[in-house]
Amino acid sequence: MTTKASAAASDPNDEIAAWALKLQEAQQRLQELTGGGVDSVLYAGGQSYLLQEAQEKLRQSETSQRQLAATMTAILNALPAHIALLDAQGTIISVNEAWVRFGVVNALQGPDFFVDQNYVEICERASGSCAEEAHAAARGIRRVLEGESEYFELEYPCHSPTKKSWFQLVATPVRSDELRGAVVMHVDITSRKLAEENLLANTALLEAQLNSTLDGVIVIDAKGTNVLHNRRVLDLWKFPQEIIDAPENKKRLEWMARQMKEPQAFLEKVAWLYAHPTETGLDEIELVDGRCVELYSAPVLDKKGNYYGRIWVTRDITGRKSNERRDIEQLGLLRMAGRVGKLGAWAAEYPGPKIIWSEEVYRIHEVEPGFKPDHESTLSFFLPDSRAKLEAAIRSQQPYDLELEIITAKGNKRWVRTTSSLEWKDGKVQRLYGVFQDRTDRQQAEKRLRRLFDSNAQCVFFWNKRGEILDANDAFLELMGYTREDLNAGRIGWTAMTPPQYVERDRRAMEEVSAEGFCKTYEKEFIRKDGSRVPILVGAATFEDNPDEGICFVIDLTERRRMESRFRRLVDSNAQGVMFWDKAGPIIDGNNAFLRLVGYTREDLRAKRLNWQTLTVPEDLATAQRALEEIPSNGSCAPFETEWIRKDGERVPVYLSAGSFEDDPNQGVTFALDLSERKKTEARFRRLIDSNVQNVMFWNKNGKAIDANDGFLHLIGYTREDLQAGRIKWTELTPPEYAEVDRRRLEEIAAKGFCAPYEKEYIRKDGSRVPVLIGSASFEDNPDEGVVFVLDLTERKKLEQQFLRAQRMESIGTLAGGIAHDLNNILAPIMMSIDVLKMTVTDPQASSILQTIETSSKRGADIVRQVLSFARGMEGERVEVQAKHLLKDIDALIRDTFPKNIRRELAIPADLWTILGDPTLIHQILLNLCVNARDAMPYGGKLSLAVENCVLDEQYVSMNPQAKAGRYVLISVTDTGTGMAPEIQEKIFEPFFTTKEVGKGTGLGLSTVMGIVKSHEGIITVYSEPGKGTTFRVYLPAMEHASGGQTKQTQSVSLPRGNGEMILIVDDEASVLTITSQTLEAFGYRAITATDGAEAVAIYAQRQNEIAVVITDMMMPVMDGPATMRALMRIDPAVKIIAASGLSANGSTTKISEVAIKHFLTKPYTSASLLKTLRMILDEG
Amino acid sequence: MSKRPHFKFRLYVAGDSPNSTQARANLQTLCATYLPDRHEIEVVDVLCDPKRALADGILLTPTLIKYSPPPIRKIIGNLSQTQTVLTALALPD
Repeated sequence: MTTKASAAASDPNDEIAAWALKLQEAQQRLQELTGGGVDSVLYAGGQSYLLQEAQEKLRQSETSQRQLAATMTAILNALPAHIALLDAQGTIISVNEAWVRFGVVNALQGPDFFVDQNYVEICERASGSCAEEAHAAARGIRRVLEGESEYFELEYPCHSPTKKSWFQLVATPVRSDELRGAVVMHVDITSRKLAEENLLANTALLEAQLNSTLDGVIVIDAKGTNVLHNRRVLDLWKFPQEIIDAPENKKRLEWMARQMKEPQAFLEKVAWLYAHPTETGLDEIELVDGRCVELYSAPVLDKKGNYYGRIWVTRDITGRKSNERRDIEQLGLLRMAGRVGKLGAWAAEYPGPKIIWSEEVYRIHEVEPGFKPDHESTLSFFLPDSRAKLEAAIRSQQPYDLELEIITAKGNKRWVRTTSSLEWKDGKVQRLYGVFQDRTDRQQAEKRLRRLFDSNAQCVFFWNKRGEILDANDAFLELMGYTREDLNAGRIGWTAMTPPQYVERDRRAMEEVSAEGFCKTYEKEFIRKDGSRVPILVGAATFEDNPDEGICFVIDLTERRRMESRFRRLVDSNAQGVMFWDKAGPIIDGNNAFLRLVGYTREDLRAKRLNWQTLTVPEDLATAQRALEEIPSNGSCAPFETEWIRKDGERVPVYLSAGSFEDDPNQGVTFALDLSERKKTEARFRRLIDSNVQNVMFWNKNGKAIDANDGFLHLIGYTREDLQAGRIKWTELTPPEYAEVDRRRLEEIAAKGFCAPYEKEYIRKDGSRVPVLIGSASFEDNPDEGVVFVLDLTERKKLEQQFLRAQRMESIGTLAGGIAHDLNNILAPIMMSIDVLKMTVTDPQASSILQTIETSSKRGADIVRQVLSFARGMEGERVEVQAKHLLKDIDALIRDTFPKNIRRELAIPADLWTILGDPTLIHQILLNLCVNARDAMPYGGKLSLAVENCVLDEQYVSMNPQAKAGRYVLISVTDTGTGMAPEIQEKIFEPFFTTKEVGKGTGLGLSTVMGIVKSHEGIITVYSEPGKGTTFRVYLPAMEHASGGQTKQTQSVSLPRGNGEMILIVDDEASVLTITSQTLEAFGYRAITATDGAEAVAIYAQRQNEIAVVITDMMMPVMDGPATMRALMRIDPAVKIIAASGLSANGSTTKISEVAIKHFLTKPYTSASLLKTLRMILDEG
Repeated sequence: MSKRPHFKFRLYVAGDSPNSTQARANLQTLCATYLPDRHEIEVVDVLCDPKRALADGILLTPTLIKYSPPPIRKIIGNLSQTQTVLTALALPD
């Protein structure tokens, strides 16, 4: 490198530049040579030359050092500590600003407090108030400087007159490479010290508090260390020292848990709490030793709200618990009482807030389930006024009893009554408790009561035990005759109003009221204002809440008394038999009529010897019992008939009606009507009925025939069985066309009790009709039933018919007579002319014609004559006629003119009474009858003529009402011809009635006969059996005086008498039976009767030894004569039987062909024939 | 076994320059690892004691001199190449 060239005029800058360049190159080369691991180069003289990097580094480090230094200084100066650096001897090397300031401020220290002073020595030399501490400081620092300790600390007070301050001196060694010494630091710890003092004070206070409380307190920090606890917690939990001090809270918790009845639950709760550090826990825990504790756990937060730890507070609540238990027991009792008495109970801590309610109180408040009452919430239910009253009462700390209004949770207004008692402890009120009651109903009840009171529906008054009347309604005042002024003035008292004789009763009632709350009603009297007495019924009750007062209602019994006295008068009037009985039997009382009825004396009654059960005849006891049972439901029973047994043992029929008393269903009254008279009347009536004088039937409205006598039954052709079986219904007996009439008559009966007699018809059992006249009436005591008298109108009808017929016949007769006369006048010339012509005409043909004309005219004349005789038959001459002759004449006529196949029979007795009559007409009778007989026997037969004397007695007349009793001549004409059916028989006597063919008969024959017979006051009867024959019997009255000595037969011939033989008479007609028995008995026989064959057989079976003869009708319904005879003969083959029949022996029926009837009575029979026949059969032996 | 020798070292550095600092650190480490309780290290800062550097004939920093056990060895650089250094120092022995 050459640089000298430019040395002379060279610019120093250029040189510098060149050397810099060289320097740079040298650097580079050195760097290359040393591989970057070298910092400096040393050259002669020992100078080192830092390489570039190192220089950089150096510069940097210097800079940073400087910075550092500045920073350090700044820090040092900023520190609140006064810091000084001492060397190994203790000389101050450097100080921070604070130290300086401190020194300045505390001029006391003087300027030698600064650098280059030996701090240690200063401290050692210190004197004055801080001397002690200064020396200690010096000692400490020295130790540090000498390496004996690594750390020295001293706190010392440094109080100024104005304030307290503390400082802390800290000395630490400095051992760096450059320096050995110490750093001394003064820190102002005044605030900390103050805080510590505070803390100490607080701690002391806290401890005092903690130890003064009854609760055990322990504070555990987050780590589980026992930060703080009080003595009480040790007592409570009996922690051993090591447990309480244990760093792990777990041990403490386990210790606690072991003392609990349910450790597991507790530990779980703890775990939960620690999992939820911000949660609090409050648990009641039962310990195994019987105590009960309340464990409260809450997090402890520092000022900033961070979780510091947890505080546990333990409170022994054994006492409270037992209180609570007692409360609960009481509550249980109260609840029960509440349910029974609807009382609620409550208990409240004082001053609160806990309140316990019983179920009833919850119910009264109508709260939702889960509602928990406390002081505030319970008060809020009350209405403002009520609330104010209640709060005042609570504040007064006196027991209270208030009626207040609440609004329930559901918004309903209620009246309630709350009473309270207080529980004191240690001079302070601990608890309030009492009863809570829903008074709403009572309020309502009271309102209702008030309304009732004011309505005056009843007489009511309020009373108290002292006899005063507190209040009364108008009705009561009116009853008693007092005014409201009297009441308000206190002039009315219920004891004063009571007559002396009721005082005892009142007293008993008051006792009852005190015991039961009310008394049974009883009767007494009150004295009115005007002095009069009023009989009353009273009932009283007290008020629940005030047993010394009560309410009383009063019922005026004046009316009732009046009724009672009237009733009594009725009873005593003896219009009826009245007796008062007891359900069980005894007769309590009775009037004289009753006693007379049963034949007992009043003594017997008083001696209680009378008993309705023994009075009643045994067979009716059940009925009487049933009637008794009816009474409770209806108040009375339906009247019924029964019999009582009199004292003398006789029975008396009575009609009883009974009822019980409203106020005492076990007693009652009976009215007894003596039925004896009525029974007698009934008996008489019964006999009348049974006599069959009339036909009687008892009916009921529904159509049933309840009862009937034999006459009625016979009339309608039913049997007694039919009646008893209820088969007879008068509605069915009545033909439909009379139904309307019946109905109208029934209405009449319902209205008047009877109806006017009217005609109708009944349908007999056999279907035939019988005309009847009925009169009906209903029974007074039972208008649904009645009696009817039935008159058989058959005969009357027949008579009517006959009368009509006769009338008809008469009119026809008159007519015919008139016509006949005219005809006669017409015929006479014709016949006369014929006679004349007969003489002049010879022509045979003409003669024959004339003959024909003559025959016809003669026939015409015959008819006219017949008609005339028919018409004239009513008149005619009456002479004494001997019928014998007539018969002979007729017999001759028959012999001569009738067909030869008709046999003749003639029976004429020796003496025959004479008839007063017209012989021609009588002849006509015979002729007509014989002609009819001939016409009935076209193929021949037998024609029998007979005549005899005959006396028609009562016997006969009863059977044949047309007849009059007396002597008659009987002419009978019998044929064995075709016979006639009953329908024909009825009509044969009617004019123009004929069974013959047209042209063969006039139909006038029998009507002529009838006319003639009637005009002679005779009777004609006909008996006919179709296919068998016919008998006509003509009875013509005989002349009274016997003439010609022909009548040897004395009518007073002594008819054969009997000797007391028993005769059985069998006939379905009651009249026949009656008359026949009377006749027999009149003539010395005994008679028993039977209305039908079966009865006859039964009687005969019983009394066959007594019965001598049986007279039986042949024609009877059900069991006719022949059957009866056969039955009788089976009993006794030798039985004597007389057969009575309308048919003559000749016309006997084949039915009895098995049995030859030896003895026959033709009906109607006279007494004579009866007796004679009887004598005959008896004489046979 | 033969007794282990005690090593003496002198490290010349130039203040806190980087290589010097590195060399110090590396040496500390090496000694702590391979020569525990049998080493001595003296650090001479040429900026403070230039004369001593001359006496030892030090030209560059950092330079390490091992005085004992013989032979005396001189290693220049920041001692980052550990294996080279160990070999130079005949370590491990």
